[in-house]
Amino acid sequence: MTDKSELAAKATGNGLPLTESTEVDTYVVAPLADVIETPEAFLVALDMPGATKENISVTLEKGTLRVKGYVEPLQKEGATAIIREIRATGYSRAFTIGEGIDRNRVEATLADGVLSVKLFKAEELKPRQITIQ
Amino acid sequence: MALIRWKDNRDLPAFPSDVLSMQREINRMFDSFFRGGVDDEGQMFSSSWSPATDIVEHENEYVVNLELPGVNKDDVKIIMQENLLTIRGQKKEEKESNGSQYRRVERSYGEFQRTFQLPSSVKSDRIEAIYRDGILTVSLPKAEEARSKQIEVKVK
Repeated sequence: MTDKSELAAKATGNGLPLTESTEVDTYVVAPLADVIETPEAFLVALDMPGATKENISVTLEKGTLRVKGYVEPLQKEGATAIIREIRATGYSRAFTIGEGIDRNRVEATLADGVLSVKLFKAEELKPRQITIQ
Repeated sequence: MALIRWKDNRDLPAFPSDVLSMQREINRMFDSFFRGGVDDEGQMFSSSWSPATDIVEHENEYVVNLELPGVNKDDVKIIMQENLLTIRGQKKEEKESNGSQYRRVERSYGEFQRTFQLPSSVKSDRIEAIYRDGILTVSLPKAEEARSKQIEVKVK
């Protein structure tokens, strides 16, 4: 950082202790989520408007389901903002997964800005019909 | 127990900061309490949620973006009246069926409406809207008289 600003100061040649930052503001929000339980799985639906399939990652590691994504900025250059409420430049949220989930069977789909993660229940959690002998 | 602590709606164990998560929860409570407004006919309506919106002004147009994740585009209505832009619609709740049930609900469902006053008039017949990745983008070209004209003033 220091090196960078020194360089910039040299480049402009005025020695001002003030240089424009090249860093992009990031604002990562935890996406709102619904959890639905079905007989064979848990469905997690997360609101991630603006994120595309290519910009989202879903990982399951050591009992933690992690969802991350980033959003391409909506604003084009040379525009004047009148109202600015959409702040998210990225999404991040993690869930702890218990023993009853089949870790080898996780599916994810994205539609209309909603990421749906399907976590299948492990065999022992599924409802079972017991035959009377 | 398959998912640890998921049944507790107020608890967000995975969120990095407890303070932020609490603030979010309080904001949501306030939002849901102060929602609603008056519709075209002067009737009170209750809007159950209010999508986040960006409006920017370009040289020739206004661009409005609304976060509408999971909303069917056929359920969205865009109305331009004078210079008031109203966007309303609803997000339908997925029905619980075949023994499925909600364990946690944070996302918003139901009707929404937002009305904005644009700073100048627009060509109402040339308004375009696109819905992609959960974001509704409405482009409103400015009317001719609204565009800034450059006038040179001679100094005597």
